[in-house]
Amino acid sequence: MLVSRRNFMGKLGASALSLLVSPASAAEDTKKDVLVCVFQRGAMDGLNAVVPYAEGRYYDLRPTLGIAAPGSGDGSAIDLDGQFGLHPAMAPLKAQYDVGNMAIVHAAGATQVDHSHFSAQRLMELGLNSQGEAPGGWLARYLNSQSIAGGIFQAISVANSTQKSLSGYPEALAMASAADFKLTSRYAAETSVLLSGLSAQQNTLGGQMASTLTALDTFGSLGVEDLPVDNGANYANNSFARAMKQAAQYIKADIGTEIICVDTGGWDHHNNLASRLNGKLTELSEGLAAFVQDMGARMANVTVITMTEFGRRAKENSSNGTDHGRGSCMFAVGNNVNGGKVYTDWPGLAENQLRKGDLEITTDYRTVLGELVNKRMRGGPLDEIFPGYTMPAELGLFKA
Amino acid sequence: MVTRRSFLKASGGLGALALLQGCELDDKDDASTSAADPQQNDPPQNNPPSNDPSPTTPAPTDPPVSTSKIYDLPAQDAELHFLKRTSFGVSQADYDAIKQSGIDAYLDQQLNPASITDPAESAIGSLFSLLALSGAELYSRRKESGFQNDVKRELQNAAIYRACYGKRQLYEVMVEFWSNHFSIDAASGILRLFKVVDDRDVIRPNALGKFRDLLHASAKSPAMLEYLDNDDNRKGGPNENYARELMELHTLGVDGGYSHEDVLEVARCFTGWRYVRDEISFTFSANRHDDDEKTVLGQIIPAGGGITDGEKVLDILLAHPSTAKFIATKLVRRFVSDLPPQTLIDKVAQTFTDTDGDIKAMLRAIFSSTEFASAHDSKFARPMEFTCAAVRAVAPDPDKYYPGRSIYNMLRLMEQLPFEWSPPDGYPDVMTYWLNSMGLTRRWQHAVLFAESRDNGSSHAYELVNTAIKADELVDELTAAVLHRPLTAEDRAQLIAMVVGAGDPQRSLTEDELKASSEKIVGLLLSSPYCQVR
Repeated sequence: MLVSRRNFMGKLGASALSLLVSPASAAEDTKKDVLVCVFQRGAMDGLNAVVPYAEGRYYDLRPTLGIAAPGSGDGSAIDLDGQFGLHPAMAPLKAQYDVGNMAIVHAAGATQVDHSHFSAQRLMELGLNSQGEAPGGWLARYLNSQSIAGGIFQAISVANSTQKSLSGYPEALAMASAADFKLTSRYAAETSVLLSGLSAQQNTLGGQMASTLTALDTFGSLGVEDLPVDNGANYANNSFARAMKQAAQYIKADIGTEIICVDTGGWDHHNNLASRLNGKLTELSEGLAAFVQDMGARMANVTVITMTEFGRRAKENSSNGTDHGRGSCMFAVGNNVNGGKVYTDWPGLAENQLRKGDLEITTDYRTVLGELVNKRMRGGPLDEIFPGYTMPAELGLFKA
Repeated sequence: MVTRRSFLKASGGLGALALLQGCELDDKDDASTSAADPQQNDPPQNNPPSNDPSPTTPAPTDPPVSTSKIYDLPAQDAELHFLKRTSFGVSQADYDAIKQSGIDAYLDQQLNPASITDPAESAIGSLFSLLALSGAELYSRRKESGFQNDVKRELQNAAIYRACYGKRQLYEVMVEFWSNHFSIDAASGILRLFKVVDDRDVIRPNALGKFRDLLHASAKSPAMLEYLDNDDNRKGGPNENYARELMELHTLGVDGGYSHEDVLEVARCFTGWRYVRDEISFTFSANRHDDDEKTVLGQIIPAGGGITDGEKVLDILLAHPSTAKFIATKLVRRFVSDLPPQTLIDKVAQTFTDTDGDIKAMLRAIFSSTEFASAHDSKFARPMEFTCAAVRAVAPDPDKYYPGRSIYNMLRLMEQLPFEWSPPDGYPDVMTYWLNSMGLTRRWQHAVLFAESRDNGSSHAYELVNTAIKADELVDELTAAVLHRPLTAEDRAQLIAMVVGAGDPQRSLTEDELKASSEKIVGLLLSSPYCQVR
């Protein structure tokens, strides 16, 4: 039996184009934002990103690395609320904080983390607090819980692989580059049709090949890579900025995208933290600020959330770095964020307030994500998306 | 209410896709990949989904089927299966050789790489002369314009060249394996130079030796000391980075039974382990070493041990049963299945224990197992394996094709250049990481361009055409050359139909038709599931 891809699509009872945008996204749905989920891999030092400058103990723990209190000259923190200050490299985002479109959740994280990058990242991407509670990622469970089928570009990873948060949702696309998401050789059209016949089995590989061919069919003619940067935004030349620029193009293309995952690596600063964190925070802040500017009015329907697997030891080490710790911070950016505020039940930095030298976690990261799902996504069964977690009262981080 | 699941089920195809891909396979976290872990239970790949795996339904508790094929392809012979797992791809020469000698003799030879005359090694010497420089020479030239990048590029291209054209394929597979087990990101900075010394003095001499020698050499490797910050680890100011990854990634595994306190104590044991920068060599600084008593995994390391503290730690870790299990799991995952069968893990771990971590003995245990023999088509080709296998099948003559440009660039785009994985856990070894729409698109783009690319006038694909005149002969000849196994009747019929169109299938093809058709056929074969599995 020859099953061509056309037949395959025909069996779905829908053309590729009608799959492009789901019915619900065509309807007015003010509660549905595009989620841009940024994972900072390597464990960002939250204590130097958002500095608890009012607590003198901070400077005892970090005599070399501490960021000076606001108003102390070059390199000092940028005051947020009289207690916390932004790392100076995060200045590009201060305007978002000031207009109320950026919020910070401090001393946040997964409470059962064990200092292993790999298990902690996995845990957070699966939406769990301990290993083995559920298969698949939290975003996959969210998507699978929805009553209406999404379009083929509903979930995109701006990478060469899909994040674990999307594992279990095989329709998620990895699209590191819009320009490269096409076949251009002279036999491409012919081979792509035949290839569907050579990959017709309904297993993992056959399925991924079929959905990729379908996506390529639709995407190739859209010219997404040619969509211009708007509002005079200026993306830097680094991988995070390129990914955010790419994310903006997917959103502007109006192809039914609801979830975009972006990674930024290189946050594991066991040594030379001052210069290395400065560089990473500059990338992050400039990239997010450029994205917000590029999006312009579209930020009314876009929410950015950041996460990192854990924070770093409160006390600096002897290499001018910090070792693996616990609590870190999350950033939320968008017009629907109740911003201009640092949300925290601050645990303190005194010896008896630290957990084995680490900043304690007082806000479970799932509290933030759960509110996000409820208020800025379509909602869903939080006890399934975050199995075993009983959601506490919402922080009020997002507009209803 | 119409749930998404029922919508997909009603729609047929996509529903099955969604369900069959429902479970995640972890790509990095070795502790969670044992067969007993319910998260690792993927449904057998070719069976229809049995029920609706709603997100809260616990996965089945039966052990996963280790032999689950990624794709149901026609049978291949045991020699081909063996070659695909122990090489970077099957060349006609290797296939002919193993068919003649048999698997046992072939394996004996591959496990003694020095006995194999390899023209690729002499080519390496002239193509990549910077790799012969001593540590001191490398360091002294570090400020020459472009030098560090040139060195890095030579190191990467040497690995690619050996994978494509080396005769000691299993040895190179193990070099790649250990380079990722003791992963060092040499993409930038001084590690571009240091990694040359690590490759030459740590990984390559020990890749088929004893794990103990590898571990001890790696602990003293300037590249590792720099990459995981142990050079900064000193008395009174420990840096935990190496201590933690040594246990989590190099020996015990994340659930291997160590505590946070063990990390702190191991870090103390390795204080003072440093390198001499301008020689790129190991040194021990006694004045930076914390010489007080420590306790590691319940064992007391007495005060005053100096450099032997760290060496004792390595031997404590080597003797720990978690290390045998961890190394065995990774080897079985590499050579058998993404879902490594517990029976074989246990057997290989026992071999590790019995032979003091003899790598050849562990490989023999794997290759002689029934689990290995039945695991056809169950591993996904990663970018390095995919691109190099295409070279080995389609462009077998190194005098006509140099892989250091197009293969290098493809691996850069697919993000599997040798020695550039950023975190310390090495490139993932499972399909769930590598199989996705971007990766497939890049593969297909590469496959079609590679088939039609020309080095000396004739395309790679047309070079493979020997005696074929008719469409079926052409398809069969190219299938044998590229796959060494038959196509399904349906796949074969599709390719023949592509060649002749509506014309007479028995007519003789013109030379132009043979050229164009050969390129399309080879591009398709390389793009198809046949070349995504290994």
